[in-house]
Amino acid sequence: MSNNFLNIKSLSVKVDDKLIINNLSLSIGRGEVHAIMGPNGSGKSTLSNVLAGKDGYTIVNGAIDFSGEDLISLEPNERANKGIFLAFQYPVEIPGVTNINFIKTALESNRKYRGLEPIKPGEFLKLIKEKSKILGIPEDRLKRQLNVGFSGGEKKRNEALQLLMLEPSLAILDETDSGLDVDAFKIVADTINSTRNKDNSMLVITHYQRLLERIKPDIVHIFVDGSIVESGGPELANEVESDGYERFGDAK
Amino acid sequence: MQNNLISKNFNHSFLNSESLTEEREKAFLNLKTIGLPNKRVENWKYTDLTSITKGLEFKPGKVDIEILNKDLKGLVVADFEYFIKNKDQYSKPTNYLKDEGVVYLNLSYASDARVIEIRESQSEPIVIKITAKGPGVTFPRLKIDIFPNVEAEVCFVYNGGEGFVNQLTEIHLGKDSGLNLYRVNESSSIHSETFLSYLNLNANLSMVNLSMPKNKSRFQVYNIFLDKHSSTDFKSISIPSNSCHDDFLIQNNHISSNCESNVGMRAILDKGVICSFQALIDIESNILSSKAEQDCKAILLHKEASMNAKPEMKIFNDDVVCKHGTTIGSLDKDQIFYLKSRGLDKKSSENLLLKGIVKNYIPNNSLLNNFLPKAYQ
Amino acid sequence: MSDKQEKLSEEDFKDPYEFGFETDIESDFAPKGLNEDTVRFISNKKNEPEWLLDWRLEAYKRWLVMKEPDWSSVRYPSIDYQDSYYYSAPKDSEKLESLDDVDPKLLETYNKLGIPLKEQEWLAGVAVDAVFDSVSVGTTFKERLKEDGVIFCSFSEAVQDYPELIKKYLGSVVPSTDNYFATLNSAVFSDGSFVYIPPGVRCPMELSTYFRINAAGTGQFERTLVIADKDSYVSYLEGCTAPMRDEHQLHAAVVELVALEGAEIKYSTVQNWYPGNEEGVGGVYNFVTKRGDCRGDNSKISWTQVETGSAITWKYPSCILRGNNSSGEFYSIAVSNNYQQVDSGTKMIHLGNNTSSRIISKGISTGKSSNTYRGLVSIHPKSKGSRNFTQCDSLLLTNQCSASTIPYIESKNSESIVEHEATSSKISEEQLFYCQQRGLNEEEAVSLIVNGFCKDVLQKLPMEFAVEAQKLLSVSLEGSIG
Repeated sequence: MSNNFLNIKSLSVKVDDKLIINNLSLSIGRGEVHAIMGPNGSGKSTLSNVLAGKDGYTIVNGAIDFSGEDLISLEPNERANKGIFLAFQYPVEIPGVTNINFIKTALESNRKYRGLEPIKPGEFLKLIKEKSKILGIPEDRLKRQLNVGFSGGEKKRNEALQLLMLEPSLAILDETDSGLDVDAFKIVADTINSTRNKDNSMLVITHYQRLLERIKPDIVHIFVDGSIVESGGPELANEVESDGYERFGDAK
Repeated sequence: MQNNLISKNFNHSFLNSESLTEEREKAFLNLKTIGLPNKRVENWKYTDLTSITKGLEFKPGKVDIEILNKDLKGLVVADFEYFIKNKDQYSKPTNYLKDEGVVYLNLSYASDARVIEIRESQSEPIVIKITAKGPGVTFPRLKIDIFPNVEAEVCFVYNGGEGFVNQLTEIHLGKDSGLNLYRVNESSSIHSETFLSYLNLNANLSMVNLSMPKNKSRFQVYNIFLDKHSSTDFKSISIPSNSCHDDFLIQNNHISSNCESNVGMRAILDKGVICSFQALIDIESNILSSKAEQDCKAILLHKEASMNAKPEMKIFNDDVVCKHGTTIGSLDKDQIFYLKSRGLDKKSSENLLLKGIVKNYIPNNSLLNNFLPKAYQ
Repeated sequence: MSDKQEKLSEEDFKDPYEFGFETDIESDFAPKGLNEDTVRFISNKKNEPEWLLDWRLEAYKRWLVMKEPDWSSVRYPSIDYQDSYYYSAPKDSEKLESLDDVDPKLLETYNKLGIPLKEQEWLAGVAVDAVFDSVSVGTTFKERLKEDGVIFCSFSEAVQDYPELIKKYLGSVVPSTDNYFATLNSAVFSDGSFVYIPPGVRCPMELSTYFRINAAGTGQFERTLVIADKDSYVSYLEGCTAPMRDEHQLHAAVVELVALEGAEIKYSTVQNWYPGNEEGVGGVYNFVTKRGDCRGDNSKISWTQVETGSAITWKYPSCILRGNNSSGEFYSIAVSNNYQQVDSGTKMIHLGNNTSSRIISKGISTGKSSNTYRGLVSIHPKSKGSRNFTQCDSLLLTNQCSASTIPYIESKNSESIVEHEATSSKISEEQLFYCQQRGLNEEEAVSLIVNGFCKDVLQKLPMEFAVEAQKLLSVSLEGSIG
């Protein structure tokens, strides 16, 4: 068995008969932060959805192994409870469900899975207030309906809050930097960065390099047309920033 | 449910045509069983045709059907002869409307008909004028056949009469065809029109209806989505004359997947007017990816005006997005205040707002603009 | 390693109807069938005055010539009215002196139902009238309520003790000729609850009735009358359950509310009659007439209902807004699963000036059920400055269920405003996936989203009811995703 935490082997994925991910292999070790950079439409978001288990994707080939277990056969909620967290690019609105109730329900579900006692209401409240404060989320926003009427930035902060609350072992950040203004961007990025430790891994999906200045990746992969065309250190991100993706075979 | 229209004054001898005897006999039999609609028939809840036609003299009336620019290239026009040659087409509406008295009434007695085949796309609108003369009962029948891939514009204009016009209209839309239909109703007869559209693959029917009846009017529309990706868009404006009655019913029957229907209704109602809007979205089971919307706004200008709305949805599949909104009331007081604060008096503020409502459906460049009352042009 | 999270099988979700137990109690029946003698039997059992017997008999005669309504969307085999018992009482219940005399088995039933029947439950602050089959078996807190002049007792007692109030108000909102089922009820009603709140009194606790059909082959025809005198306030809760049975049980109740000047009545229902099994066998036929009359100026009546039970639900809790500035509200959640049929909604009749009404209806259909909202908003010519707002949303969870919205809107006054909005949709894949990504399983995700969908109504329920209602929603929807 590989020491790696997440192992993607020769993965090919189709959507409506169109090949979106083409023979992709990627391994992420415990405590590592990987970044995937690529032009629009290269299949980055497809990868994050496939990892999280969204319907509508046909896996035509390959395997995904997470923590020694076959990921593909698991339901999205099982993956979540095993520690995979996807910070959505476009978080969905759920009318009538308050933000705080949602986070509590999710946390309970995670704890139950791990065999932990339900968290005491007082403790939960203390925790969420503390984390909200770090992210600059006002308390009244916790009482609002989940993502309903949130601005783009508010939604992204809220995703970060959920990440902090749920403490996943693999966080996938799908374009988390988009929609954030400069100040919010710093807060969110630094907060997420602060959760790094030797046990938790991250997969940062982004179009731009700026997020990677604050969440320094161990390895950067360039993703074009559904597969990784080059991997390297953080310096690869800088190169993309100045020269674009053209060198990597992207015609756009 | 016998009506004196059928049983006494309106007996079978009224029949003045030797043709299609079998079809007529059958229709007449159904008419006798079903009778004319009255308010106990759910779809006719707001128009009791039996009682409003009671005082009429039932003798044959006269109606002119005139087609302007009928010599356009790609246009084939026929009259009642068409149905004598194509008997199977005569009773076709009853395949979809099995218990509609007014349809059987028309089929029993129809003699004035126009069948227009539009075989090529047209750059100018085809105008069809239906003018009733004097008292009596008439049964105009229209059938318009849009050939595949053809785009056309057609305008119906209804006028005149003192009796009862019982009209039957069918629109057949071929694959990938499109029709922009306009309708102006200024009829002074009691006017009932039953309208059926049959939409084939990827066909689109758009209609703007300007209803300004000078008597009692009923317009009932049945859109039948025979094949996928077809769509309908109906916009109707109702501005009846004082003390008149306007009743609009529209049913969009989603019997194919991926179809879309939109219905909009605007009513501006003055003294003594009664207006009704009954709209049904019907999505059958097994039908996927349907979209349907209804939207109705009625402005009651006078204390003796009333509006009835029944926006209905019957949904038998979960793969839908359906919406409906209705508001009934007077003009927005805040808007009037705003305009007044800019120096307009009450009357001009109201007119401006009403014009805004109308212009939304009938802009200045619309074919119907000239038909609008001066204040809205 | 993941057995804890193994996807639950169908079997795990088969909802054993939680209240489907039957209590083994000897019952006192009227002879099976319906005729004038049945009516006399019931009236006689209740020791009713002559005028009430006459009222019943008149209703019975009227009923004989009436036609069962067929305009709604519900379909059921014709009911044999001669094949049912119209009166069933736990034996000896009439002689009860205090709660201590109540059959312990009955009390056990109520304990199972979670009803705080005993006085020691005082702290719960709920006064309960429990109707078992056809008779009321005990009203709690009667003494405490009496101090404020509040009358809360069984209908039968009220007939004996407050005949003048009954005579004045009975049938004044729902006349005995109103409709087929209300007329039947008028002839054979056996018991129910009676509430009178004197002028200026704010009822010190929530009043509550639990209805339960127990005996086999029994129809239940209870009658509830709530009168809020000038400037008074009352909140009334109603809960219903029935045992599981293969045959259909008929429930045809009538509820009349009268709000006099400045009074307010809040009437909440959690209806959980046995809905039948997955194949549509059994279940209660629930044909109920509920109507409130805002008789005085500035009065208010508010209906809140959570409907999850019954094979057939046919009910339209309505408000007649007679008094000037009066207001009516209707908040409804109707869930239908398996073969359940719901045809429910409201009528708001605006007669007075500056009256207002608000309708929020949330329909959730799943399984092979059908769920119809049917409503009327009517503004009469003399009702100036009135307003209505209606929001009508349907959620479909499978491709075999149906949701219909049939609103009638009739406005005859230019100075009044009516607004109506409606939507029909399913739960989006994106919403489900988002919740699942955070660790909720599909059932939990649906339940959470549905609860959100219903929030506007749930928050109108009194606290203790809201919790029960949310639980009920989850139970009703289990194993229901298409």
